[in-house]
Amino acid sequence: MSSTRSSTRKRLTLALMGATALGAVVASAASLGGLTSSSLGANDTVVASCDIDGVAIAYTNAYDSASGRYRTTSVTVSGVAAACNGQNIAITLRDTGGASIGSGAATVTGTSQAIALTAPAPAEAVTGAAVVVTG
Amino acid sequence: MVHRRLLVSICAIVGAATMAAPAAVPVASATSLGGVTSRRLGAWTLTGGSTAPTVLTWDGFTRPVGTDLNNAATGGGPVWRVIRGTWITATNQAQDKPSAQNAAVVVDCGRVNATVTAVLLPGPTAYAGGVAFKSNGTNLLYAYYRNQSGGSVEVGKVVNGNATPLASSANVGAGVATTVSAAYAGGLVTIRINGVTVLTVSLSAADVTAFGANTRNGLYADNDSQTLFDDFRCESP
Repeated sequence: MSSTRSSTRKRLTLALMGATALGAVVASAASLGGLTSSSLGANDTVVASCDIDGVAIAYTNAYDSASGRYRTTSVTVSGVAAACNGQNIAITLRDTGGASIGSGAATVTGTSQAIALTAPAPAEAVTGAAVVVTG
Repeated sequence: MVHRRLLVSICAIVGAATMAAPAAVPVASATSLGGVTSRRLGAWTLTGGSTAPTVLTWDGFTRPVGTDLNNAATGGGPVWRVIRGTWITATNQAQDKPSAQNAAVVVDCGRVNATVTAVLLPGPTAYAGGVAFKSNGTNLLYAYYRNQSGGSVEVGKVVNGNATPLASSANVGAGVATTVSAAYAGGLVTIRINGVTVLTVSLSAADVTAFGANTRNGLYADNDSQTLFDDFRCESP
């Protein structure tokens, strides 16, 4: 009997020590002095397109005599609405797998805008392009 | 019983400590930003290829000086065949040296309708040369450019070594380097000098019969060992 009580006391002592330690950890987290935060806010607006009837693209290709292949060096985006003037326009060419194979950017200065690619792309691999106008 | 009381006490201690922490964090107050504005944007995804021609075979003549082009492989794989003349490489270019009358070297591009292009570079101040096209390995059509007197171009045929002019055009421009191309499509020949169309020729029914199925194209010179040729290519369309 005496042995059973002694064992129970040991377990309770250990449990109390564990709880005390846990309490100490929680207590230290609460002792950081509090958190502060900047004021927050939220709102929304409708982002309208500066060109609602779409654009067209035409590629400029140059023969590369070193490789015997044509390479796309620039793209002209036409049919750009005047509302897009002054904004940034960027184009990314993609291949049949959808991977990017070339890109370029410019500032819209008219209804037709030539965009030089940062590096020529293999012309035969081009299957399409993504064009974006941003403010 | 003692055990249970102690556990309840422990839970109470822990719970009190846990609850105390959030109470110390100030609550941020959400306020309006006063409205959001945006410039008008645009984004489109378009499909379609670059429409660049497909290069069937090509040659930049980057071989050791003096290499015989006969039976030499082009960039696209097929080999050159000399019809007349002695076609060799100069410094990354080709020339007919020693020269011959109605000299030509051709390669099989494998297409009936094709465009053949070469760049002419002057050895001396005056130079002349062009491209051979629609050849069967013996006979051929040619587009022959001269950079004298404002530049001129002539389209003709060579049958069994004898040349017959078919059409010509004058004042097509005389530059230091000239790109000559001849495009054939269904009996219509289009000649371009530096990318500008300067002459179109509709072949006679007899010439279409004689040349229409031929697929060999290449370089053409006429008693000229000075003119240099570079950046040959045969492409479709």
